[in-house]
Amino acid sequence: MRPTRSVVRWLYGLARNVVRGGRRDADLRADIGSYVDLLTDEKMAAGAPPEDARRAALLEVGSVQAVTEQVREIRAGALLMQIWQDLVYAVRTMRRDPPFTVVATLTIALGIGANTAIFSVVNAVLLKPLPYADPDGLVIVWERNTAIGKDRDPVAAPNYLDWRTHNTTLTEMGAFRFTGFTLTGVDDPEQLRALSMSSSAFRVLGVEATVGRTFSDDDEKGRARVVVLGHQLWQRRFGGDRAIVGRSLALDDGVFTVVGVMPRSFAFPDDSPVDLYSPLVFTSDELNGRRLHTLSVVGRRRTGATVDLAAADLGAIARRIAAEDPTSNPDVTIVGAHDLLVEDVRLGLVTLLATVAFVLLIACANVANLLLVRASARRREMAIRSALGAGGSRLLRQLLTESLVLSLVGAIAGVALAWWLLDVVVRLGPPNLPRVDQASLDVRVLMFVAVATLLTGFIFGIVPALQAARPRLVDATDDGGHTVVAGNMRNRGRSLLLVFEVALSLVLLAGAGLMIRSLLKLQNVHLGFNPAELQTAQINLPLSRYPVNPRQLRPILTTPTVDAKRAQFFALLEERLSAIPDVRAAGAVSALPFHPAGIDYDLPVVVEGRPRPRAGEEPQADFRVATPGYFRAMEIPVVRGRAFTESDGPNSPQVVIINETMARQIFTGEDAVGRRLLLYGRPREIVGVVGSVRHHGISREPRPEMILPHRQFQPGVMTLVVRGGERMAIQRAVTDVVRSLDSQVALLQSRPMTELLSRSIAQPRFTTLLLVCFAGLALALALIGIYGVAAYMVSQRVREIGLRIALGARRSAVVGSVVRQSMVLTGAGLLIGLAGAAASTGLISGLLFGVSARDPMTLIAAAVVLAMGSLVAACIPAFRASRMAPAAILRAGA
Amino acid sequence: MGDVRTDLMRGTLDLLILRSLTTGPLHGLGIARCIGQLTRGSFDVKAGSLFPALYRLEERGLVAAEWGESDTRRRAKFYRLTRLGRKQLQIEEANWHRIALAMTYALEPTS
Repeated sequence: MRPTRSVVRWLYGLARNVVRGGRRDADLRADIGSYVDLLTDEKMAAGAPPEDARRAALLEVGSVQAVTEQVREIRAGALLMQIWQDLVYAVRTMRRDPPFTVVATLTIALGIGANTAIFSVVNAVLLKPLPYADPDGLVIVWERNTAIGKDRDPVAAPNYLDWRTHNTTLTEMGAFRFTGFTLTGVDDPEQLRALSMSSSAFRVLGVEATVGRTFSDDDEKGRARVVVLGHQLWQRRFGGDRAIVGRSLALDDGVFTVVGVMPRSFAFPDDSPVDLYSPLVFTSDELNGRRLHTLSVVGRRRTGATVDLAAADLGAIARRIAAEDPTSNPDVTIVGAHDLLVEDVRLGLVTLLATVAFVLLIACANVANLLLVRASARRREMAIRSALGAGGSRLLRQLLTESLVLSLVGAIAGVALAWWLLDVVVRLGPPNLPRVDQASLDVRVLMFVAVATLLTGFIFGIVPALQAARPRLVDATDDGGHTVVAGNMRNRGRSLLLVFEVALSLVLLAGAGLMIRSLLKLQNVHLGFNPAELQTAQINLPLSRYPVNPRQLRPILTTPTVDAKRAQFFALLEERLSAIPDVRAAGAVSALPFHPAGIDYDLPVVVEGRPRPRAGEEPQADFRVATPGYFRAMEIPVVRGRAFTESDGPNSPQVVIINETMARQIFTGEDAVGRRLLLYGRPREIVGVVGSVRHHGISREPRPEMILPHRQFQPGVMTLVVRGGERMAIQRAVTDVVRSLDSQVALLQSRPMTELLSRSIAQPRFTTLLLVCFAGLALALALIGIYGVAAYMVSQRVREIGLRIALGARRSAVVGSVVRQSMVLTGAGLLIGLAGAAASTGLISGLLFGVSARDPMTLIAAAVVLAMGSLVAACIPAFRASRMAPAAILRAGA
Repeated sequence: MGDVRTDLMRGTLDLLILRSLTTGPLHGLGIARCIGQLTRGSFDVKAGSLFPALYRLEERGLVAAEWGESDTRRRAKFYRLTRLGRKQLQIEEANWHRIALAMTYALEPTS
């Protein structure tokens, strides 16, 4: 037969079977019936009496049902028909036992719901491509100098230009740096988040303006004052008016022309919206020497050039440069853009994903247990179906279909749960979890759910199905389970599941415990200042009226400049703020701990009178500028010497304050106060040592720090700190004071310090919170499992228990024997779980702070919690059994 | 039973059924008896294997069936060869002869 023809025939047969299956069955039965009749006739013709002839004929043909089944199995689409039958049967079975169905469905729904929600987050954060053209090719480049512990140093402009010219592995490179602009010429001047960006950077990203254009190379000549608007500012300030292109904008008292607007999807370099892009024009300082690390650099790999290859290529160029100019960093670091985005969150998310997978496995174990219990109740049904001609594989298929239907119903409920859960998770999501707001139940998530559902149904269904599909006819006719002492063989599957569940839960509890301890440690870290009742705000003074000379947006200066207007502004501000009754202290600093704004960079430390280390090998220290009130406002203690005063002016002796870390590292065993440092070639006397502050994050040790008085050095951006109780009153007062000094100066990011702190701790808190929730869920499921098994054991031993009590056994002995049975299993699970936890918690050591991944206290505590819980779970059915009246039990069991 | 043997048996039974129908339509028991005669009593086909085979052949369009009346005036379903069935029988008979010949050669004691 030709294949097409046979397919057509098969389809025809299938259609016939589907449409007329019932009639064809009846026809078949009639056919077999007539066969029996004919056989009877034949036997009668041979002389047998009618009764005997009929019986013999029936015996010879066998069960009509069995023959019908056999014929059905060879029919076209037999498998489909059977699957349909199994589905119908599965639904009927589920409806027949509502308590089982509800418990099992809910258990699966919890497992699949948790997995779906977390996978949605993982999908959005880790798996979705970045919103740039061909995002896989994007890389970020830094300078590297391992000798002084710098892995990711911003790039000096001459180095960027040299790399761009000489490299062979990147098709294009672009550079950018943050800058500040104040939107002026309006009633409420606004501080803008702005980015100076090279025209090539737009090309690297491959994103066009949605209206107008991005920059051309000509814009970088610095003649035309042009800007590109971010989508958000365009909407917020200009109502999305497309005619904005070509219009003028007052920025910092200057006039700029808008040439384009970026699309909404353009989020660069991070999630926080950028208001404005201006062309990147290098200052003469940036181009003079290779010590000013001001730029972030992006590049696009050539096809076939790996990240490693590009790193080797640019590294070689960097080494050539460093050979001629030792102040230049001799190597580069290159990281894929997507890797960079997710490197801080990947471990946390993967841990969460593993956790919910564990929860699902525990849920599976619970449902498998329920199925095992039900299987013993359905043993007779299976035996009968088997006797009626259903083969073993047929029964297996049917039972697995039941499991899959159960799993599917659970999954549907789970997706509904995930829909809600995702909302909660996204709202809880820390601000630095990138792209979490894009998490949704998209196609990929639903495919994940489909696979998870199939796997779940198979995992919890296969063992009970295998066990039930091998019915022992003897058992069934024996009226099952009527022996006095329950056999242990049948309980083995259940016991193993229980051990497995307990072990998994312990691993999760241990992990959650470690995260909690770590979080507590984080929250109790001594920060070096008092964050309570501290308000912060960023102030950018317009450069046109408060010039920093030479003009620098990121003022890393080779020579300190003094601008009297800036100094005066902050001196007055501090004075007027301190006069407000609610304000206890006020000050300003160039970069505030945990505050996103401000200039944060380091300088080589050169001590007067000491031999100068080779260029590029000097120790580095963070560099900041503070007003006199800063230390008081932050409550940073002055350990030695003094704080700044108003008399540390431009014409008085040049001074500097260092922190304890620097005093310890640079002046080990010496008194730092009175020594002099060379900063920008000028000597400065150390007049004080202050306490160290955890500037770069709660979990990072303080670095050496040098602080200059603001009246002797003025950077572009300062952050204000005001200590005082009533938040809103303070904010209003601060705004009023600033406006009274200059009506065109805006405050940016005004928020309490505690909020900044909680932001920086948001991610560990988020991970911990979810881990604890899921571990709690796992614990609850495990305890339900233990309860279920204990209850089942009791039900199996009910006659034995009744008999024992009747024979005078003490109830406590009965309880003890039941509980012992459960606790042996729990104990085994705990041992395996301890081993598993010890082996696996090391994987999350990257998430932990101040606590060892194998912290024995945490492990023991987790084990104790689980042991206590399971003791209670096992006691409930045991006590209930011991309360039963023995006579009732024996009568009921008989 | 191994797969090979099952397939061989199934193929043999199909062939025998087709062969038994060459002389005219038969009902199920008739086919069983005819096969018994054709094979001189070597094969005793039971209902459990006959009906699946018959329905399989029907699905493949090699036999067709309609209800009629037996010699003993019983209502019975009569099976007959279709045109396709006749063609298939020729092919399978040729196949069988080739196999049988090959097997005979193979199992002949080498002299």
